[in-house]
Formats: sequence, C-alpha cells, structure tokens
Amino acid sequence: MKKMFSLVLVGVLLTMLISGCSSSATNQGSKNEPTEAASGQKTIGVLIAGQNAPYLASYVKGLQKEAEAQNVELVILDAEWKIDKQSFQMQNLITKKVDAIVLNAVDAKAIVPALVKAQSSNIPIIAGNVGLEEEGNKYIKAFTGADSITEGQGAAQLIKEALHGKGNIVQIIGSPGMEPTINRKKGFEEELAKIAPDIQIVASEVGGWDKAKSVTAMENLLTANPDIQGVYAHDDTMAVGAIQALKEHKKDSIKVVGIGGSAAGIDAIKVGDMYGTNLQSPVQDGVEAIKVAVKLINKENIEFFNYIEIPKITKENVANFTPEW
Amino acid sequence: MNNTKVQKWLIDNVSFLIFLALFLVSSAIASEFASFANLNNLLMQVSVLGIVAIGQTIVMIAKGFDLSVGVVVSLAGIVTVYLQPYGLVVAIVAGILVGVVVGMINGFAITKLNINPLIATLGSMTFVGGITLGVTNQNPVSGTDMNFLMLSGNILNWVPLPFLFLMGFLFLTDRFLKNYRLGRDIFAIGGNSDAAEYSGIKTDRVRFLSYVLCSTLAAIGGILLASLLNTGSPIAGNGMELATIAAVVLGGTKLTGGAGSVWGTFWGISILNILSNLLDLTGVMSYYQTGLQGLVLILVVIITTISAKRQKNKGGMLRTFQ
Repeated sequence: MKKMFSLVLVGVLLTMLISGCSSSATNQGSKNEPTEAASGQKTIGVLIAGQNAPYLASYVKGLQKEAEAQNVELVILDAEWKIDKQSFQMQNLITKKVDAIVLNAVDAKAIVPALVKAQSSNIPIIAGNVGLEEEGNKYIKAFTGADSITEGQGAAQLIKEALHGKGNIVQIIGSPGMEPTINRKKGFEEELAKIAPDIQIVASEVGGWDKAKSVTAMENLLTANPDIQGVYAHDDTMAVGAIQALKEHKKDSIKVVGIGGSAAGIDAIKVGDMYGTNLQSPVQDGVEAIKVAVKLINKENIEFFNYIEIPKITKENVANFTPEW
Repeated sequence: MNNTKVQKWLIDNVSFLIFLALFLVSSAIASEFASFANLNNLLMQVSVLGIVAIGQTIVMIAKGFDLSVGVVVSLAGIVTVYLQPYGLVVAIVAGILVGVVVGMINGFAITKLNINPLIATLGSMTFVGGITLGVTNQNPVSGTDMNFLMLSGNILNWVPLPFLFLMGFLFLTDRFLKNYRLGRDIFAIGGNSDAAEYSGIKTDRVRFLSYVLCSTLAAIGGILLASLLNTGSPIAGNGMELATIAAVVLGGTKLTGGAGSVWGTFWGISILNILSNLLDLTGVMSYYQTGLQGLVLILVVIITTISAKRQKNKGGMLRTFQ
C-alpha cells in the first residue's frame, strides 16, 4: 500500500517536472519557429534581483526581445531579493554551463565571493543595470546600463533651461551610499557649476526613492527655504512626491526636474506639473545587456562600460514617449 | 506484524523517500546534476538554511513558531562582520549573543507575558528588522578579515565546513531531543501542555529555552552565511522564516506540536533545495519554481496525513485483535 504511495508520488513529481520543463521550453521556442531545436544555439543565463520591481519587469522584456532577435536562449532566474539565493543561482548557472551570464545584482558586495568562485569556469559575466563597484568589476567583463553621471548632467541642463540660468534650487536625493545617489548628485552638481553658475543649490534632503518620504522632505525644504525656483529629484517617484507637497503649499510655479521616465513622471510632464525628466528606458537597458553578451560569446572586442542613451523628456516631446514602467 | 513494521518505517521516513526519488529523477533529467561540482554546491546550499531550520523544528515540536529567525540571521551576520576588527572570536561570540538575546526576548514575551508565539515573534521580527535596517542605513557591510571566509570553505576540497556544522548540530539536537529529559519535555509540552504541567514539567522554562535555542542556531546560521558572502547584509535572512517552517512541515513535524524530528527537517530542506537546483539547471522560469515548491509542500503534507491516518486506524485494529 505504502509502496504504491511512493510510486504514485514519484509519478506525480515526474509529470510535474516534465510538464514544467516543457511548458517553459515552448514559451521560449514558440516565437522562434523551428530553429529552437537547432544545435549550437547559445544560452545566456540571467540573474534578476526581483521581477516584482516594475523597472526590472520591463528590463526582462527588453532582454527577451533582444534574445529573440539574436536567436539565443535565455534562462532567467529570479532571486526574489534574497542574496544567498542569487549566489546559489550563480553556481547553478555555472554548473549548467551557460555561455554567458547577465548579473543584475541584489547586492553588489555580497555577490563578490560568488564571482570569485565563478572565475575558474571562464564563463563571461556582465553586470546589467546594477554596477558592481571596483572590487566586483575585477571579475566581470562588462557593465551595461545607465550612466548615473550622465543622468545627473542631463538634469542640470534641464534645470538651467527651466530657470533660464538663474535662481535657487533644492535637491531631493536617493538613499545615501548607493551608486545612483552618489553619481546623480555628483554629475548634477559638477555640470550645474559649469553651465549655470548663477543657480545655487541651497539645500538637500533625503527622499530615499520613496514618494511619501519625499513629500515630507519637500515640506521641510519649503519651510526652511521659501525663496526657491526649482527642485531636482534623483528619480521621478521622488519628483512626484515633491510636486504633491508643492501643490499643497500653492507653490506650483516652482519647476521640478527628475530622472527615470516612469509612468507617473511622464504623466506629470504631460499635465504640466513637472518640467522634465531624463529617460532611463528599462527595455533599452535589457536590450543592451543581451547585445553585449552576444558579442562576448562571439569573442568580439567590447568596451567595459556600455551605457544606454538618456534622452531628455519635456512637454515639447513627451508625446513621443510611452512609459515602460 | 512484519508488514506493519515496514509500513511504519515508510511513513516515518516519507520525507527521506521523497528526497531519494527526487534525487534519482534529477540525475536522470539533468546531466549536470550528479556532477561533483553540483553535489558540492548542494551541500553548501542546504547548510545555512538547515541549521536555522533545526531551531525552528525545536520550537515547532513545542507547539510554537518563530518568525524572527530571518532577521536574526541578518543581524548576527552584520554584527559579526562589523566587529571583525576586534578579532574573530569576539566578533563570532557577539554574533551568537545576538541570537541568545533575541531568543530571550521571544521566550519572555511568550511565557511571561503570555503573548501568542506568532504575534510575539512577528513583533520581534519587525522590531529587530527595523533596527537592522536602521543601524546599517540599508547598506551591507563588507568583511575585512579574510580568515573569516575559512568558516565557509571546503574541507579536503570537497565537503563545505558549514555542512559539517549542520551534521554536527543535527546529531547533537537529535540526541538531545530523544535521550535527555529536557529534550523529551519539549515533546511533552508540544503534545499536551497542561498534562505536562501537571506531571511536574516546568513548562515555561522549557518553552523559554526552546526559543533561546532556536534564535541561537539562527545566529550561527547567519554567521556562516556572512562568511559565505563575506558580507553582513540587512536582507541576508529575508524569507528564511517561511522557508524553514515549510521545511519543518515537509519533514513531518506536526503543526499541532508534540511530534517531529530534526532529521525529517533536514530531508525537508534537501527536498526544497534539490527542487530549486534541478529547476535552475533545467532552466525553468522562477515563477513556476515557487509555484512547484508550493505544490510539493501541499502534496507531501497531504500524503503524510493520509498515510498517518491509515496507519493509526490499522494500528488500532491490530491492538483490538491482540
């Protein structure tokens, strides 16, 4: 009797596994017509931090789009924001002997030991979207994604335009210590000093990439600095928070500039609440990662830093952009 | 007679048998599965979660829950990495103390303040989690002492040291639960707390101890994980509370307390881990992976409940015939 139980169980598990595998295979293959079975098709392993983040969900779409165009197979593993899980997934991809790995790190530091261990496999690894800083960059072949410095510079150019080169502004920054926070601040401040010396940054507050926090931050900034004409937020989410606070205080003549090009940001530009933003397209970000990965597989020469374009969006051209996240 | 013995063995070891079946199936499906490198990976992958799950088993045998194990893993790792400049011994002792203290807080809240274990440990989970994020400002801390990495290294080039720790803790806890009075008291409390109280067991003390043991093991797991990642991260233990509870249940420990074994939990962890390893190797999308793991959990619990019920009915019949 119990033997039958175990047998049935093994059977059930087997069917589940096989159906699981084949369903994903058809998922991948259905769009590639009969070529899916062709041997020699290269496989790229992708380690995603967590697809529940809207940006990364669209990022994955970009990866898939380009993989289809280049006829490579993707194995996408989601770490669900668990750092131990991601380092184990890295080991599993190496065991699977994929041809290249795109790493979207949950934690740029904690993944380093896994990268060290991956060295001996000779599988090329690319950091996608999240940079790894100096200690991690030694073990990878390339970075693809947005350059936060460029984004900061673009924001400075938009602020100059909005304020006609003169005035006082405040800055709402992301979580301290993170690479985008540091470089979006650096790029902005350096560019502003260069192109618009008459614009003063009178104060900065932490918005921590969070809308509610940014509302409070903006309120405090307004209380302390009533005479401001512009706001620079490190991303659209915080910019939209700032706009909410400005509206509540009837200060909506103050110009707001952000980074990102999220749905909320683009909407705010359309209705005129926000002056402009710097688009970081998640789809483009994903496409670039696969492009570079394929070049690496084909042993073509590539640059270490591969940055995507960061177009500016203002009321004039907002109609050309559909939000991706 | 002999037949019932076989049946009983099968039921008691159902999680091991499922593991075995999965292992064979995996070897057949994925050619890389049974490779030396992958087996070595598997041993490492079960170690940290396995050690944390031993503690969860102890608490659940005593009819409790501990939702705070995940944040203890994170905080113990951070403290250990942070204190490395004062010497590894100091750092590791401090990391373990994190577990002892959180365990004492849990135990106190549950036994003295009579707060439901689910709520008490949910409270300490959010409280400790908040502190962890606060002191680190959400940033991970990197290790400075390279000797610390040896804790998660391989012995003789093939067995990860954390796996030996896991085996050691499994053996010791199993002995403790079966052969020592205090261990058997844990089963008694889980089975029927009132009866245990009447029979002279100091139930509060035993329950308190079970939470301290659980958190301490979680802290040890956290230290090993920090060594593996060379990083103390505020999100290192994310989700471990539910993963360990799932493994404990898979391993045959009853949610109603009073029955279970740490070896069962080990096989439970191994089942979940082998599944995700195999699905990674075969390239199944992560969303299906979590779905499959949930399905397996439910299936196994159904099978154990049904077979245990049959065994009970048959056993009852036999007894009346004797």
